[in-house]
Amino acid sequence: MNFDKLSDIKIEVENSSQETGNLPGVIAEIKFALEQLLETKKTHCIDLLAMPWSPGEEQKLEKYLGQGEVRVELNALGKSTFIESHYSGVWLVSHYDENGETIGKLIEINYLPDMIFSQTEDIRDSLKRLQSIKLNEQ
Amino acid sequence: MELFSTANDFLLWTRGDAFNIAVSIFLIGVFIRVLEIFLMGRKVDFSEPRGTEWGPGLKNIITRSVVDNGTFKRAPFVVIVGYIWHIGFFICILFFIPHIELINAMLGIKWPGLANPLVDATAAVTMFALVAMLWYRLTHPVLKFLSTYEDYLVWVVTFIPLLTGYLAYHRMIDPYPLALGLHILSVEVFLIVFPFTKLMHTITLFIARWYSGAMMGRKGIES
Amino acid sequence: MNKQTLLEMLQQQGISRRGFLKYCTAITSMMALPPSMMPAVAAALESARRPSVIWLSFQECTGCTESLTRSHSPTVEGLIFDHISLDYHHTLQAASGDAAEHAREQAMHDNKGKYLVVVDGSIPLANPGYSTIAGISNLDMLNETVAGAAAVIAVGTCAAFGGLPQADPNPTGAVSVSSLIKDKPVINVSGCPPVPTVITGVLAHFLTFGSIPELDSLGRPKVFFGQSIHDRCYRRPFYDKGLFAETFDDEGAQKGWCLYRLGCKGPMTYNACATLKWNQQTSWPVESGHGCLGCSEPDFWDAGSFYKALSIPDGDYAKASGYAVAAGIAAGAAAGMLNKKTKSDAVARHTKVSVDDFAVNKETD
Repeated sequence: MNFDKLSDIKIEVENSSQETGNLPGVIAEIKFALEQLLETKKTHCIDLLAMPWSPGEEQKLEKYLGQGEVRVELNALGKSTFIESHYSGVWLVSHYDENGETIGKLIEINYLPDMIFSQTEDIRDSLKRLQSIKLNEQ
Repeated sequence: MELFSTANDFLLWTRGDAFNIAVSIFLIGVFIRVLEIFLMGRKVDFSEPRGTEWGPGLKNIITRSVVDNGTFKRAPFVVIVGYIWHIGFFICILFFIPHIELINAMLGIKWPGLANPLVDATAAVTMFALVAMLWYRLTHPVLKFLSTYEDYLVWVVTFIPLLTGYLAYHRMIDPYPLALGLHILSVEVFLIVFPFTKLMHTITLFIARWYSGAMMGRKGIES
Repeated sequence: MNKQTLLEMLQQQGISRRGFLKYCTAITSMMALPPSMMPAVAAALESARRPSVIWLSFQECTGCTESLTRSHSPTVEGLIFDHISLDYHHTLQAASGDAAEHAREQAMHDNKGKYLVVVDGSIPLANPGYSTIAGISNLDMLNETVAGAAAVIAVGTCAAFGGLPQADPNPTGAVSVSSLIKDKPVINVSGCPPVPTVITGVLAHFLTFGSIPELDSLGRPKVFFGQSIHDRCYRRPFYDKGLFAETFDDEGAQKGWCLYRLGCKGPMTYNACATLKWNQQTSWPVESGHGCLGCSEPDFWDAGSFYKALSIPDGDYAKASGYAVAAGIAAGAAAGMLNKKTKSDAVARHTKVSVDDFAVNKETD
């Protein structure tokens, strides 16, 4: 077996008989934030890396949320995925670095995660590049 | 006394040198006092014995644990609250898992413990009972009249280990090494004070009860 | 080189603003800040200049540097290290000898009052010759380098508290950084090694906000060291219910029960292992079935066996007890004999009286 990266070593996650109790808490937070989004248009973000999870619990959460209609992939400093869950407005955002290691994992309650939008600075930069190309063609 | 730069230093001292000193003083003191009692000897009794000594002596150790009616009628508060706090005290010491580990490491014997929340509840009840006993001692005129500084000292060195243990378990003192160190230190103070005060009753009660039972038994009467 | 902001540096590398925001999201999480603070972090990093960092390695095993550089093939960490101007690091730098020392002195001079000093390893005081770099003793190099620094980060338990070299009998006279440096802010990032995310989180905080995070009584960032392992352990419900593993790999151990009886020092240890974990959130010692060693605490090497419960004293109490029992028996026997002598003396002093001594009409003298 070739072990080039840490992720090559297969880790079998046994579901721990002891759960941290964070799962119902996170679900409750999502429900509350979604209600807030409807009423006040206020967005919310939950950092999943900031809480302790027992083995298998995070996978349980992802299974619970599931995958909905939209999946967006971003390629900047490695891959990032934005997956709308079965529940509209509830997005599972995963950030990976260039080696495929997780550097961020969040649940974003929003109409569309802010990072997907084209950024003003990038548009400004692109316009500059476009204008310089036009100049060369002349 | 050395200066501690961190709470961890303090904890390591209580678990190391301080523990050795306290246990040494405890053992030396207890052995001196117990040996003094036994070496006092007994005057030869020339009367003819009507019964045996050892059987009734040992029996008395157990039967004296049950209060007789007269004592109970005269001092019900002391009997009831006394039983509550003594039993609670021994439950906390002997059935709390970390304590069982300690005794196992020192004496090589082990037994199953109780779940932590049970011991925790028992500690709370025991502390209440002890405070009640102190209140009674301070308000009952005869008891107050008879009480000396030693009575109060013994109450304090018995109460503080319970209190610090409770505070440490609930992590009410920060950082934890300070809390645990205070608890261990309070037990060490208890051990040092033990042989020089009425706390010796823990050991001498067996000698005294045996003696009473043996004397009665020799005379052939029920103890 | 040091005048560039992070944003300018990223733009130069062709990284979009989206990439920058992703970087900021990761850094915010790494600093254990709530995600809603990401815009504030982004704003701070946009205008932050690259500080110079000088890394001094003293009496260490290089585990701390390894922890930092090996666990991730760093993208975010790499950016942090690109963001900082790592002007001096024994293990990582290309230059050596005089050229390297000159680079250090140059960086100190150019950034006087503003550079960051990172130290790993303890400093030997018994004999400066125990640990030297380019002929300069650790103590001298530390004092010299810290003189113009903005702050010092002591990485690893050796630098923070003395660590393994300071353990009994401490042959090199090893001491921690904070016992020597009193006039500059010292941040202790302890652990043997520290959780890599904690190292980078602290660096990130300094780079983002230009200030020191809130510290506990041992000088460690409260955000990572404010909670004990015991309070964050996922096996805590077993402790509370009284379910403990008795030996390694017994039934209780296989069921994942509490490791208190097997020597876990979780209750007295403050670190982020239980939440941040190791190797990209893979696992941590307790989850892998081994009790916590307490490696982020001072004197953990001398704190008793790793496999004896926290409640067990670790002095030589068996020997002390033996002597005490012998002394007690001897003293008790002596006391007993003294008592007997007192009694027999009293008996001997007892003068016999006869009834004549009590006659009423006794002639008086």
